[in-house]
Amino acid sequence: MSETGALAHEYRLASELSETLNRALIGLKKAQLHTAGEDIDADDLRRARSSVAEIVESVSNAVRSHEGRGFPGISDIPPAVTSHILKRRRGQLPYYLKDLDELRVHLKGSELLSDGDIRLLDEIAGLIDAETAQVFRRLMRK
Amino acid sequence: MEDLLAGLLRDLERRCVTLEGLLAALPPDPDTAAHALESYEVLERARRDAGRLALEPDLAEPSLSGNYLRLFERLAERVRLIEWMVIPFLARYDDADRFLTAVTRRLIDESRLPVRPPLVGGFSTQYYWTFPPYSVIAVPAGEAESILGLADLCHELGHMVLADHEVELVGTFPTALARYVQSGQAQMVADQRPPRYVDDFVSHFARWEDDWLLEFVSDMVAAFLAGPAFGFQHVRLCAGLGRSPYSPGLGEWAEHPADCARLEAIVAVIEIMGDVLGASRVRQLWADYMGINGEAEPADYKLCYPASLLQELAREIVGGCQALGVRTYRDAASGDVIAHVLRAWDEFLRDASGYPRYEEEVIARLK
Repeated sequence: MSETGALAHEYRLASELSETLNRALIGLKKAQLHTAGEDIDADDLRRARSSVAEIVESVSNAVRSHEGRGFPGISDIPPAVTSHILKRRRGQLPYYLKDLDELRVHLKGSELLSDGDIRLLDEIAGLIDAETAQVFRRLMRK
Repeated sequence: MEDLLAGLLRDLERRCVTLEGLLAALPPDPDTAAHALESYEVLERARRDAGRLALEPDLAEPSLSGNYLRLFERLAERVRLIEWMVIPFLARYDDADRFLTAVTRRLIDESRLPVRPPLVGGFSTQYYWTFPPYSVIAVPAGEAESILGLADLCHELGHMVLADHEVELVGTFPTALARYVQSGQAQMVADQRPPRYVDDFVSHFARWEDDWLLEFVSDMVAAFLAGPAFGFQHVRLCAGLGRSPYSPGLGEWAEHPADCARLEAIVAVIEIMGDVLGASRVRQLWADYMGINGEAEPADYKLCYPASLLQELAREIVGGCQALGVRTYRDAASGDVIAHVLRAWDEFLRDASGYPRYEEEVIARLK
């Protein structure tokens, strides 16, 4: 019995998350930059902020759950992403979780995001992208 | 970067056109029509997305190009999945595939499984596998002429049910799993176990969360559907693969949990359903196999695969399958596919040398 079914499941979750986050991030960054003179649709922007806020909340919950600080359950965040964050942020986890909480508040408001907020989002997107590509490679090796 | 990305996106667009051409040239077939149409739609969406992205005026904006590259990667993966995971089924759909597909779809109807009717192809190089997002199952070339292995179809169908009904099936098990890991870890620290041992324990259960839970769940759904037939087939498969039945243990890595634990998971479901005789026959066949295999149980095995966790998961799966309205093998009618598979196993275990003739007759009847 091959593990393709399990990998397909992992891949679907990771790729949907990666695509949602990158599309939303492009919208948010365009709004920050006003690139190419484009007007970003206000509804699109609101939706982008809201979906990114949900992802940030899921990341925060997943990290808290792994640290034994929250209620464990089925998470949208791939476990490998959570593990990477725990390794990378070891020793500064309370600050990281506080940054995530602040980021979520910023996203739920309407003011522009800070460079630090964008950096944090890019870091999360990078980890999710890397995990998606990794699962895809494993899937294709089957 | 703009030129490179735009070029890659145009190349992907062209790939989509090529694959769409392949699909359009396939002979019409009611079995494959839905999969062909879905594949075409996925490719067409990817083609349009790639075309739109290639025209983005800010493709080269440094703060955005990384995000655009990731979007390209996801699009390219989507196209490759259709090309590698679906088109091979459609391009070679032959009589053996038609039989396997018909048997599987019959099994789904009879068991009232909430999954899309899959296409089944007899060309796998990786034993049985499924790709639930596109509802395809690949099996080895000889499976169209065999009944015993068909129980493994139920494992792949388990993956398909799980893909859409994870919460209903798994229930609160993740909480129990997390509790076990936390208390185990605390106990090890209190017992002053070496830090490496504690790390191995935590890594082992990270695998449970990542992949193995899905394998256990699919095994348990298969046990719910096929009962002892799936247990017997597990023994047959293990004997053929020659893997260590207790591996992976602490500090070891594998994409699947230990075969012995999988057997216990299967038996746990059969017992919960009240089939005492069926459970004991599966246990006995496993004991016969282990008697020949001769491998001894490692000291940490029960710590890695605690019976209490497997039983808790089995209760969730049986409850989940019942809530989804799935019919168990115990309610199968005499002419159902599962009843044929169960009788085939009885016959094989009763008289292996006379079995081939029996199997030929059953396959002829199913065809």
